[in-house]
Amino acid sequence: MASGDVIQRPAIAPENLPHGAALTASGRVSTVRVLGAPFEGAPFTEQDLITLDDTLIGAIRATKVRFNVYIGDAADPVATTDALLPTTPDAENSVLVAVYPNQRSIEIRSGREAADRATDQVLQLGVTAAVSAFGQGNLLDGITSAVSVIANAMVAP
Amino acid sequence: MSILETTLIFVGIPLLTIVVLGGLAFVQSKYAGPIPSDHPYTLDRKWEYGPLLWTATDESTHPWKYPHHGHAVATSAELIGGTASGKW
Repeated sequence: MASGDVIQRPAIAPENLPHGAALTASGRVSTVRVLGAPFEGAPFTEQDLITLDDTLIGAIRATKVRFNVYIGDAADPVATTDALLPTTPDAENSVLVAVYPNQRSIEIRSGREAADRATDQVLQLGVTAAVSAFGQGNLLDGITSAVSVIANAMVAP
Repeated sequence: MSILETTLIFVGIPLLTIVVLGGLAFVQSKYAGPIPSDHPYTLDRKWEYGPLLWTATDESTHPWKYPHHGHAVATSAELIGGTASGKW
C-alpha cells in the first residue's frame, strides 16, 4: 500500500476469501477462474462498466464526496437502503445510489457530512435523470447519468 | 531466382501468414467460453444476480486529513443527510 493511503476495512476479511482469491492493495478482490469453468460477473458490457467507473472517479475527484452504487433485490427498498448506508465506505461523506430493478425503485441517500451540498433537491435531480434513462431499459446508463447529474449539481448549484 | 520470386517468398509468404492468423484472431471470441455480458441485463428482465456495490476504490475523499477511527455512528438515522426516492 502506498504511503498516505486511507486505510479502510475491506468488504471481505482476508481469511474468508474463497480459494484462489487475493485482496489487492486497492481493495479489489482478484479471483482465479478454473480452466473450463464459466466466467462469473456482472451481466453488463465492458463499455458500460468502464463508463460507470470513469463517471464515479470524476464525481469523487470533483466533489471530494464518495459515490457508491448499489444494485440489489429487497422487499422494502426504503428500509434496506437506510440500513445499507452505514455499511458503505466513507458513509458520512458519501452519496449512495441504490437501485432495485425487481421493485422498479431507486433510492438515493447522502451522508450527513455531504448533506450541505447533496441536499434533497440535488438528489431528486439524480432520481429524475435515472428514471428517464431507465425508461429505455438500460440500467447502467441511468445510474451513470444520476451520478454525473448529482456531482455537477454539487459543484455548481 | 528472379527478384519477383525472392519478393514473393520472403515477403509474400510471411505477409500471408500474418494476415490469415490475424484475421482468425479477429473473427474468434476473446474468451474461451460464454461470459455474462454476452446477454447484457436489461430492465425488462428479472434481476436474479447477487447484490453489487461499486465505488471508485482508488480515489480518496480526504487526502488532507487522517482517517478517523472509533466514533462510527451507530444508527442510520443520525447518518442520513439527504433522501430522494423514485419509481419507474
